[in-house]
Amino acid sequence: MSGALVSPDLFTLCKVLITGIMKIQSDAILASAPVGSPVEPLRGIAYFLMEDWFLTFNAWMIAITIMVTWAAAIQLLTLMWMERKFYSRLQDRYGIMISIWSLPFWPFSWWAKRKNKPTHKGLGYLQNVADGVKLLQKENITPATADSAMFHTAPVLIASSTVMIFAALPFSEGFVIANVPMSLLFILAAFSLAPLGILIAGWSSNNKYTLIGGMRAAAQLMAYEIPLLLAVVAVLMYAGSLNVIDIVHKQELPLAMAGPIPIPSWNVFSIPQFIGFAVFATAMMAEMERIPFDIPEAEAELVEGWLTEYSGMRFGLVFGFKWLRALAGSALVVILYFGGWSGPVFLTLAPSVGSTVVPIPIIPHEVWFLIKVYLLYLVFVWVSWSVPRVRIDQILNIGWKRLIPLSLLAILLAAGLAAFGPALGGVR
Amino acid sequence: MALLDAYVPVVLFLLVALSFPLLTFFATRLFRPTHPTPLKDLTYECGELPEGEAAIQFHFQYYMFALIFVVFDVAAVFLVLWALMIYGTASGVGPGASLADRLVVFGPIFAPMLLGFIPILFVATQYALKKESVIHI
Amino acid sequence: MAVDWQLAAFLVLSVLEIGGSIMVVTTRKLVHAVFWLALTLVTIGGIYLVLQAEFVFLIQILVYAGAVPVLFLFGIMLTRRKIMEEVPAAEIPQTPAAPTPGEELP
Repeated sequence: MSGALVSPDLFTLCKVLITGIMKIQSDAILASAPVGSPVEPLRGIAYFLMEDWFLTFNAWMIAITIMVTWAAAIQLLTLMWMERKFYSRLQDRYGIMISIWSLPFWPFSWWAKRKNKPTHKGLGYLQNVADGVKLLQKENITPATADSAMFHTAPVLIASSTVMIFAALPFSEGFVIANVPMSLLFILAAFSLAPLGILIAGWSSNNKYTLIGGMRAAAQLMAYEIPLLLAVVAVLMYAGSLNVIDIVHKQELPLAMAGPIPIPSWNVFSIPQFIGFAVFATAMMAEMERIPFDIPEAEAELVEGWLTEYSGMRFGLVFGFKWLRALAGSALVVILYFGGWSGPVFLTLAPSVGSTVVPIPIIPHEVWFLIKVYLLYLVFVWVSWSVPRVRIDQILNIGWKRLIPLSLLAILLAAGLAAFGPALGGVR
Repeated sequence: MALLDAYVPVVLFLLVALSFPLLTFFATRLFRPTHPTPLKDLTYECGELPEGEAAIQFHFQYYMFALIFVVFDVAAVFLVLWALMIYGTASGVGPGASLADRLVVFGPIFAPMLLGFIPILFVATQYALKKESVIHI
Repeated sequence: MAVDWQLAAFLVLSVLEIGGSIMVVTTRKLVHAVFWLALTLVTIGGIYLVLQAEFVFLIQILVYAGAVPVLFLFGIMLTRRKIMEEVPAAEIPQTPAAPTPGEELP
């Protein structure tokens, strides 16, 4: 698997790491408790540390922590920062600029006089961290007439089902937690658990307006899941498998040559898949509850929609998980239609660490994946902040009456071309 | 059993994913103040006092959309299953098969499935959604 | 000790499922019943997975846990508001006392 930085597998890397750490600890304990000394039972701990099931369990825990931190912390902050800077530039202003140089203590701007402090001269990446810290220390207000059990369970339901998407979403061939045989359907199933949590959240706040927001959100999210499923059927006909890694592998072969540059056979370059891409991208924008499909969270009308009554970290969690769904949605569009993480590897450095040679590709697959996801996400943000909001009955109209016939057309064309295309001269 | 081995990390991930929001909630107890006042316990209606119960005029269309969703979800699942069986990597044609071979394999399934099932599905969606001329939601 | 992980997973999922289904029929608040129903359906899907039917597991989550509880909730919300709250004990209809066996049979 040349080209991926995390190779062959995230779990294998973590197992190597944890074996090394445990071996160092185990050797230290064995050296400090020789046979015959009064602390001899400590040797049992040393043998326990090197047991296989213990190492495997710890390796999985480290791999899961790395994936959750990467997706739900680092990528989340990066997406939020990119969106805020991008739409600020669309609105002809600078956007967030608080940076680490705004901190008023050593070694940051402690020397400047009060009127010369450079508080707003940075990139603004830490603004979202500051917002998170602010939400951490807000008071947790529960309405007195709310159904307390459901009120507190709904954010847990939404948060866990959104984080479960990242169990099967790969960032490259090796950077995946669980390569299950039908990972595409697994990801869509994790997406579809959200309307229940949103409806329970909206109902349990005992507020008429959150109830309206929750019901509209559930109706919208359910209406746009069928175009998602149907567009996936069209991709399945071309790829032959529901495994995400296989779908990306099918898109790596070159389609044609434009001079010296080979054009890869991305799914978006074929006619039925292009229709499927339009359907999938629109349905994904509605699943992400993004403007123009923003009615459940209509800021000018329902304050925050179904999450009005949440405060403090509960609000932070459900608010942040909207961006996590945006990351998962953009990643899914890139994987299905834009060739996933495949991209040319220009150079492979091969330094040797100790006795093994560690290949470092430039540019690795993870970086290609992130580049494509960020560009697609910026297109979504661009559309979001340029168009007005669509009314709820128009949203349901588009979902049921316009997108489903389009996706059925895509399935018909894809079925024909996938069956007879390769024999008719490679028509895609 | 390779299938169950592939799902072991999913189970571990589920445990981590369930504990992640719970730990966040309990961790914030250290940070946040607790000063309940009667005004804070009211529900939020843009600054006004909430009137009446939180019961609204429920529209029937919500229930109808959910019902239609269940029906067409199952129909879409049948399409996924069909596509997986016919176009899957275990199907009888490879990339080098000729047009005649493909017609033999795909033809008998193509005609009734695609020329029968999908148009019926399409007509069914249009019929089900034409029953309400204006969507009151 | 050799642990039969398949049996252990099946037992855990069965306990969750039976507990969930008992909670569905005995809870006083209808919306709680829908939540327990969703849990029951998800654990049934888990049992499908233990039996190595992965596609059925995924479709169970997609269709059942994603759509059917929402359908139930919408149906519940169509009825009177009081239905959605706890049913007080006075309103539960009492069955009339059953005749003792042997009285009515000739």
